[in-house]
Amino acid sequence: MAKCDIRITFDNPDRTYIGGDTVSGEVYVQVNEDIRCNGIVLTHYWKTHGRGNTARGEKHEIQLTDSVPLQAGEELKFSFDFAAEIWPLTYHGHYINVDHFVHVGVDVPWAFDPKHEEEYILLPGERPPEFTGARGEVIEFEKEATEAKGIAKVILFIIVAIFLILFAAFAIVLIPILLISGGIYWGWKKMIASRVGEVKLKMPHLVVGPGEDWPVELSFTPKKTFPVNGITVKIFAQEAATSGSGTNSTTHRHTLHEETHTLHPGGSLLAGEEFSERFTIGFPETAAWSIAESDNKVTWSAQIRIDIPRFPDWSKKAELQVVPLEFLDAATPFESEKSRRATDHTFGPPAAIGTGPTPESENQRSDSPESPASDAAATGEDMAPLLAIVNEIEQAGRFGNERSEIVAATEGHTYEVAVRIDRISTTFGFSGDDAAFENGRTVVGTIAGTDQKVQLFAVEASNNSLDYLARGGSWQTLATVKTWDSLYDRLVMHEVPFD
Amino acid sequence: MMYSLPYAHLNLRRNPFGEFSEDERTALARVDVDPIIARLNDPRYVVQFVGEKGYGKTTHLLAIRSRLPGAGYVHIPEGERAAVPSGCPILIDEAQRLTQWQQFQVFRSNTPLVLGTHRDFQRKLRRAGRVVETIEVEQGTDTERLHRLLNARIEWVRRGDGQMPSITLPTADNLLKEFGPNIRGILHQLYTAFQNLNEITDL
Repeated sequence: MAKCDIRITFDNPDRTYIGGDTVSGEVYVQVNEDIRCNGIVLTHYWKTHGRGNTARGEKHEIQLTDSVPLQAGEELKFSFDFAAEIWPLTYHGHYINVDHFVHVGVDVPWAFDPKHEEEYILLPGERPPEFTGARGEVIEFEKEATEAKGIAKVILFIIVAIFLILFAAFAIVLIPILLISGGIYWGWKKMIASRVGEVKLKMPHLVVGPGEDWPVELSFTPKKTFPVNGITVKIFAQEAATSGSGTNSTTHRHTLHEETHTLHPGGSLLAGEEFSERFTIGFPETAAWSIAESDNKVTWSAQIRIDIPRFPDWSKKAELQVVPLEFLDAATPFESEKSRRATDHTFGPPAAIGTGPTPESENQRSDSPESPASDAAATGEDMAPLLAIVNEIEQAGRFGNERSEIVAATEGHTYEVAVRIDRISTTFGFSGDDAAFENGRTVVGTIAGTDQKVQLFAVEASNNSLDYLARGGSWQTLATVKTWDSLYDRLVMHEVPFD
Repeated sequence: MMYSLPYAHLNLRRNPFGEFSEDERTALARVDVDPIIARLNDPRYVVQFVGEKGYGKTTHLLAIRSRLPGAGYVHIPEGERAAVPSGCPILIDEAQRLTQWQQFQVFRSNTPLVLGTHRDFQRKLRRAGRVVETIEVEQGTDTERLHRLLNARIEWVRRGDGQMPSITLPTADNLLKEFGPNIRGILHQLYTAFQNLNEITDL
């Protein structure tokens, strides 16, 4: 029998917390034999487990008791509470898992210390300070013990430099090989450029949230007419877990996601005719956040390819960073989100959410706090005409043109609409004529009180009010029905500007 | 998306065939080192565990180290030099990476040695006046030992009282036939099997 039996319980029975929450509970220590204890310490930390070497976060210690003699039959109870970390989040993958732990150890001199640990689940909550809203480059999280690594890098750099200087004389024999290799590479690039010319690729969002519309812009003017098998973008995610070190190390890889989207079908591209397109790609729903620990990595990438038959393809790959939508929403009212999540521990769209700060609205659009009451108001008489259309669409056959015909019949009508927000993104690649939408926001969600999905292009003038809203919120405005998106089974609407 | 505690459906805390820490591997070492420990009182004695990677050399060294608090232990990483520790005996993992000078010093010292190595140092050690015992680790693996080792890993990650999956003797036997003494290969195979396990069952 162990000297002590330790039990850890959490006040929250499902042990699910969001970043920044207070994790609280009790520690019970049942003493089985008389011992002198040098202290009981609670430690909380995160660590990985799976096929890779264990990565571990900083250990945070809480002293539950100092040195004390413990007698057999005694049961001690300690309460604890601490603020949950905000990153990394709990992740359970194939080769990689990230979990957060509460560990309790009884320090017994000259003997094995009785100890016990329990996990808790950490979901997105407080936004890490590294996230400022900028999405153009991958964000590096501040690592612990980077100083030592930095010194190691300097030493390595000096060693490499000395090595290069010493062997520079011998390297002269390598010059022809390097020249030939460089020449082949240059020729290869030239060959591709002789067809596609200079290719301009823009991926403004390298930091991406699950389920978002991910924008990409591609433009080039072919120098020659040539056929293409297609222009594609491949979204790829992989776990890479390394176990062991040196020659004993093995890296295990597991593909989490692989999906190729065709941006442009096969055909011919004409010489001198500019190809300039903006696309938005529906990023997959996922909880596989990007992880960049040395032996445990979850990586996402996007590879754009111009597939030219019987000729080298043009392609470019970019690393993406997938993070929870909550971290991207620059104006997420965190405190309200926190209180909501205390009762709703899912990643899905919330059932209820509080209000953000009241925006200074330039128009009379309503950014109503999401609540059953506001939904009821939004689905009242004013929305009746739109709800009738939604009803018709639901009754119509899923296949064929019936739904598109219903939508076409609404032309010229303006409807009052309340949208329960799933996500709001910057409008990118707006294909209509009205410039008012070009720098506006795209609201994706459902029509309040229904399950009908909707994509609503808002005018730039509404940016101020929309930027204060978060997922689960409700937004009311006037809009026209533009089309039916059969791919996503949703209405596409345009906000009517207030002029 | 809902998260539950990891591997709770199997009454486990994690996949028992994932990567374990050095301390855990020490605690789980299921090797008989008693006869070796008795012989380590002789200052001229050297035992070398020879075998391919993944066959259990490090496990043997860690088991001996856990029994001898005064031992000095070092694992020499690839491409690096490491100082030979003090202690009695001295345990050196990846001893084939010792420099010539270190070999000269250590082999001629008056301290019992435990080596884990890919290379057989028998002749060099004998020339240095050592009493050498060479253990080919692959020959120490039999079905019963493998069966004990695999189930000890599962027990180590037990979540609570009650049933858990387990490895049967026939499965251990089949794994040994398929992988031979390559324990690392066996662990990888079982890792995948446990990832795909939806309910508590014996394998």
